[in-house]
Amino acid sequence: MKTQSAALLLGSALALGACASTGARNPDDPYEGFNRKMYGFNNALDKAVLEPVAKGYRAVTNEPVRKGVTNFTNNLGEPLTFTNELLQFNVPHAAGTFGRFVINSTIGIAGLFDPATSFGIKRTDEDFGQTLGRWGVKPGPYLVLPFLGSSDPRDFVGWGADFGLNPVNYVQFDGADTLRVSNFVLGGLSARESAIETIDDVRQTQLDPYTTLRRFYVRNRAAQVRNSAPSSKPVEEVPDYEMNF
Amino acid sequence: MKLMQLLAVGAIVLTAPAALADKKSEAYVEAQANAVLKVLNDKTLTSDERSAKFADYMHKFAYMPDIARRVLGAQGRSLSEAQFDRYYKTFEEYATEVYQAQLDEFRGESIKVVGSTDPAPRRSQVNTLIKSTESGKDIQVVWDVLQSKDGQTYRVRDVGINLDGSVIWLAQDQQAQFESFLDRNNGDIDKLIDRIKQMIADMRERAKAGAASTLAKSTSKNPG
Repeated sequence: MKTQSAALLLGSALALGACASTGARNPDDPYEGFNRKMYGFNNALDKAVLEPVAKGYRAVTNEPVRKGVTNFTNNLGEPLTFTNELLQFNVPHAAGTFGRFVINSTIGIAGLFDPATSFGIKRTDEDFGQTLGRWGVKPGPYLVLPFLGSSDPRDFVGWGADFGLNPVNYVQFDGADTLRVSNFVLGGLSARESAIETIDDVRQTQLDPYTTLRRFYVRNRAAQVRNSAPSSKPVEEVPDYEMNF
Repeated sequence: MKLMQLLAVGAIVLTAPAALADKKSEAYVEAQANAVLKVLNDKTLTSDERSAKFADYMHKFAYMPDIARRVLGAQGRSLSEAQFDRYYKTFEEYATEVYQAQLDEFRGESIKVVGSTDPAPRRSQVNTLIKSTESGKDIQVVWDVLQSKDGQTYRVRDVGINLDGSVIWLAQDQQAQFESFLDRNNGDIDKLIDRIKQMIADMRERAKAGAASTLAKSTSKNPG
């Protein structure tokens, strides 16, 4: 059912994009017309709701509290990372993630603290979009989706699949639903709060923030699929006038 | 054993010219980048003096007219001289403001060269590390450098900042934005110039507001 809804939404997004785009298509962004409209919508929503809420959250909390919230939501993300690392056949990372979850859930008091990092077990972060990338699935065209922001067909499918794959969604105990909702809300709030300066900076210093975000998203996801292996700049042709000195 | 020695000598001879070229471009980047950072950190300079000195270094370090033309993409080749001059004057101011703001994150730190590659003749990519004053993390900064025909001087074409494995190339990203803006405005260079002017005014306004709020904070902390 979830997959059907996801496919329907994806299909609508693509169809709307095809209708909205006019003129010559940018090969890096064939649905630019639709994407820019969605970007405008998400941006307005962010300015009206998410940004003020994130700033309010920062105003009423101090750094240790925010750190605890980030640790808590990160810890609840470890089972999903673990599942994806297994699907990527990355056993060493999966073992590390499992270890982190056990240590932080116990010694770290339900994940509020992150002693695993102090023990030298670095945090990794994997989702099904990255798993598909590791399996060789191409990302497809860049998409901006309402409420969800930057994506592409591979990540959109991955986002839906992560709901089904996340062990946290199957745990049953009193208050489990409250925990899941809290995790979703706090995770979003924490992520938006930590990006206040970066997003401000992009809005204020970049001539075309949409293009900046698109390029950053595409590169960043490619780096995440590669597990952050350093990428060098493709050697581009240098025009003669630049070499003439 | 002799064969191994021969192979080793051969490898050294073959790699020596490239290594030498790397070392020269590495030394250039290290010296120039640290000189620029020193200017940003010079407390004896007023804000205007710092900006003027920074602009001077930008001209020594990079060749701004070429960067200005390149970031326009295909449009850069079709502008009249008068149009280009008008655009260049605005671009120069904008680039100085933006790059000064970007490098300000590394104020008080120094750059350390960690290696380089020569992807083509007269071209080097120099990898450096610098600590971010804001996050305290070591950040990889890559310099795309051109060597002059006589091999005596260099020019920086682009600067890449590695954020968790994803490198943001400042000039290349600027080119994507400028091209996109021109595409959506029928290639109207005057609209681009107006937009850049607006951005410069906004950045200066914010810098002024930021300085005023810092001053207000320090005055309230140390009244009288």
